[in-house]
Amino acid sequence: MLSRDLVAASSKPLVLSILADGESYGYEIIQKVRELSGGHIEWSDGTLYPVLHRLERDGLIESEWRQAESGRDRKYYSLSKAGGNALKAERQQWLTVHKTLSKLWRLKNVSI
Amino acid sequence: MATQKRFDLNAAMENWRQELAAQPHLSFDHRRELEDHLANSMDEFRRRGRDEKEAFRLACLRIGTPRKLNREFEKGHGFGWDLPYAMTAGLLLFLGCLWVWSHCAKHSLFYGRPNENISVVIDRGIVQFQLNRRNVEDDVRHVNSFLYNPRAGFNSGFEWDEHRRHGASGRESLKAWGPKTGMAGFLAKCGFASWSSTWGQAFSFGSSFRSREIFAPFWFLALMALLPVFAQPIARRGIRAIKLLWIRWRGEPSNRSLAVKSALINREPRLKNSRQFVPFA
Repeated sequence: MLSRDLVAASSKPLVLSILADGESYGYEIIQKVRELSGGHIEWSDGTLYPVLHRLERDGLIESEWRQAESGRDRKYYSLSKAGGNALKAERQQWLTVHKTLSKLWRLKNVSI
Repeated sequence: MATQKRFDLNAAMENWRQELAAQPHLSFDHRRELEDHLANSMDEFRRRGRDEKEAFRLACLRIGTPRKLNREFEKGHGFGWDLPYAMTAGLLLFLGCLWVWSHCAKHSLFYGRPNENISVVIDRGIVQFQLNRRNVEDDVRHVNSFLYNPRAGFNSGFEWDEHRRHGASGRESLKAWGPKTGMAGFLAKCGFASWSSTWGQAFSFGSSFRSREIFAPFWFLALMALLPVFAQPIARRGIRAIKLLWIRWRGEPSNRSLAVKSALINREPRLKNSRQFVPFA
């Protein structure tokens, strides 16, 4: 299980990366993160939405209310142009951290 | 035989909605989004073979209590623009209080020994640091009064001798110096300092009529800055209370009003210069 600080710090790149693959909604984003991390990154459901709203307020993502297949109204989020640029910057930073740590720990393959 | 009460999902959902609506930091959109999340979560638990009651209970546990959700949303919305805004407003409020207080009463923060003392006097808008040297025999008090002037240092102020001999109280040999421009000038314009250092006005030590006129827009701006900080949470709670009463009275908004709201949110942006736009004429 990841520490709380690391989970909080990684929420932005994770959300932006998921939305870079296409639009999504809160529940799906949480499920994807849970699935991709093998359950190591555990977001409590209520904490994701403030993150999404903050990113939307910063202009990194956009949202739209639409009717889902189930007939319910659902808010879909997608990546904005500024969000794409932010993701590039985030990617660069996280890769730098990753490379540095890999060298320090002399690891060739880092897996969760 | 004991009869088990049948689980009413609609009633349970309604209760959950009511609890959510009572939270001040959850807007109507937030609640809609959380309700969709809860429904998705319930669907997942049902697919895993849980009954309706269990699915609802587990979904509620997973999403968190309404109070916890409210706290999360409060955190998420608390430090966007509110913090610097509140800090600025706090500073302005402090200055405002200082100004009002200093106009109401003359107050010395501390006094030292009777013969020599340093006093901090806040008098009608000016923070004065006074160095007092009192000659007890002659009953003369020599006062060096410095205006607090962060930019120019302590080079702005007044000096006088105060005579109390023979029961008379008067101030003589006044010398006044200091810049009237820069920060001192700005303070003067804001009503924190006397307008000029001539003999008569130097002793007024406060905002002259003219400076009061000038600082009025400044305090108006300060008030405008303060209003949203204090008015916004109060207004938000008021609106939430009205909404809650409305929901209790009329029930949740209908699907039609939701559809209208959704359409309004997702409306197409209006084209600029649309008059000039002629599609394939």
